[in-house]
Amino acid sequence: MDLSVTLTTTLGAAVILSAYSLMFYKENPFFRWAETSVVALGVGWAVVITTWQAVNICFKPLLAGDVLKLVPLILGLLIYAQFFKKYRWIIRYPLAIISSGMLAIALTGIPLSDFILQIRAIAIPLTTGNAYDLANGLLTIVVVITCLTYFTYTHEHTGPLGISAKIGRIFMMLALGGEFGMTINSSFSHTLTTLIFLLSDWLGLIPPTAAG
Amino acid sequence: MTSESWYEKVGRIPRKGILVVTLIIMIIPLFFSLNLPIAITEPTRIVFEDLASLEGTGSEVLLISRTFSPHWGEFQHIYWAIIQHIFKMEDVKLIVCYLSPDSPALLGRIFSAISNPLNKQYGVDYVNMPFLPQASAAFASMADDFRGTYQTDQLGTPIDELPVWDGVNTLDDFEIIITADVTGGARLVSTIWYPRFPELTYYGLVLSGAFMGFAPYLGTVFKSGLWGARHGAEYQILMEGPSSGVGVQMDVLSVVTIFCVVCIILGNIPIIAKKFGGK
Repeated sequence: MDLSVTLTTTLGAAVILSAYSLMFYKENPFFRWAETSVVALGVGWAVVITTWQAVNICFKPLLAGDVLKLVPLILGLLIYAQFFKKYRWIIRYPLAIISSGMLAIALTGIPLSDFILQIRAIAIPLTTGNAYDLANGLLTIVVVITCLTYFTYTHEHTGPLGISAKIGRIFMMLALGGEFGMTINSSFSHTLTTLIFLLSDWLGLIPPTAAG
Repeated sequence: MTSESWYEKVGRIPRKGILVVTLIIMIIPLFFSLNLPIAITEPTRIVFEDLASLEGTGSEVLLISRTFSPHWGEFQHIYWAIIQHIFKMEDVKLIVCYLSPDSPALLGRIFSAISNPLNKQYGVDYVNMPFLPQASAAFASMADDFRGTYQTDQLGTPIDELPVWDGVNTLDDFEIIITADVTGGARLVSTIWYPRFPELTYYGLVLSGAFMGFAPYLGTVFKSGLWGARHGAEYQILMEGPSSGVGVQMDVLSVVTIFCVVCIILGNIPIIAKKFGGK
């Protein structure tokens, strides 16, 4: 095997084992080394890629005569004002422009995607003529109404409103439980990837898998 | 001195012990395959059949990757499956846009591993575009003028010199758009692209732990999607059959999930027993 591959694989294995040492022992220098190395590597990589892109997107066109690129360049540079206590207030201007721009982009689509389409999606299963879709659609309507009543704050949750809110809370707990379960499952996938790396790529105890 | 009840003992099982058992349970199926069956679910079948229908049509597929290294463990299966499928088909072109700094390196491993064996030529059959910061601004720019968003590919080659870009000017020129993000790019696609291009076919590749962020848009904005290693495995099986090798990994996930459910039940026994005053 290539020496560089062996070295990088061994380094990768060392980082994984050091990271896992926290679970089976306690905070230790190996874990701190792994933690800071991964963070530093991630930040370093992001800085290089982002700077390279800033050069391509902004500096090169500017030098080629596209003076409009001066606007984002100046706004970007103003963000660094936060490092100077006296001029920290300046950062509000670029941040205001960035957040308002992003808000404007998002807001134009929200009424359609988050309201009209969602409401339509509730009604569509009722019209297909399929018994399963009908049952599913009716259940969805019950879930939507009961969950919405849980967030009704203008009336005390008593009587029918209280019953509906309680049912809504149960549905929300079911959804959050499902989400938590999927998060755990997601973590198992990540752990499995590291185990395969250790047992296959590093130690060669199991054959390489189809998923690489 | 009062003796501990059985449910109190269950509640005091050391956490490290559970972790060690979990790890052992995960390792055993890697050595001794259980060959548990994997059923193909509807979302996977929809994506597979729609992509398969593009074969020989000269269609363009757009893959938007906004994946970060910590999520690779789960996303890699889906990426491998989707990209392999596109590459195995004749006359289907792929343009990959990166909206996270990690994505180019992560997907680069897949392209370097399979492009040569599957006879796919860079610039002709597929192309990697450079990373664009600020995903929402990039989405807005692509919606306004997709071709104008980029001047060159990742290697600095002008897009006009790349045959894969022939005839691609707007998002309308793509037959299928696949967005891979923690939530499948749900928010960005639904608020920026869908209102302007509602007739396009969108698929989301999602981190299973973030499925709730994608679920409301599944069926409304996105035609289908793939989430979690499970869907990646299903897709691989659809392409290569049960011998694809992913079954071993699914065995591990199935066994460890069963163990997790057992732990949840055991962990709840002390609480329920205390509540009802049982011994």
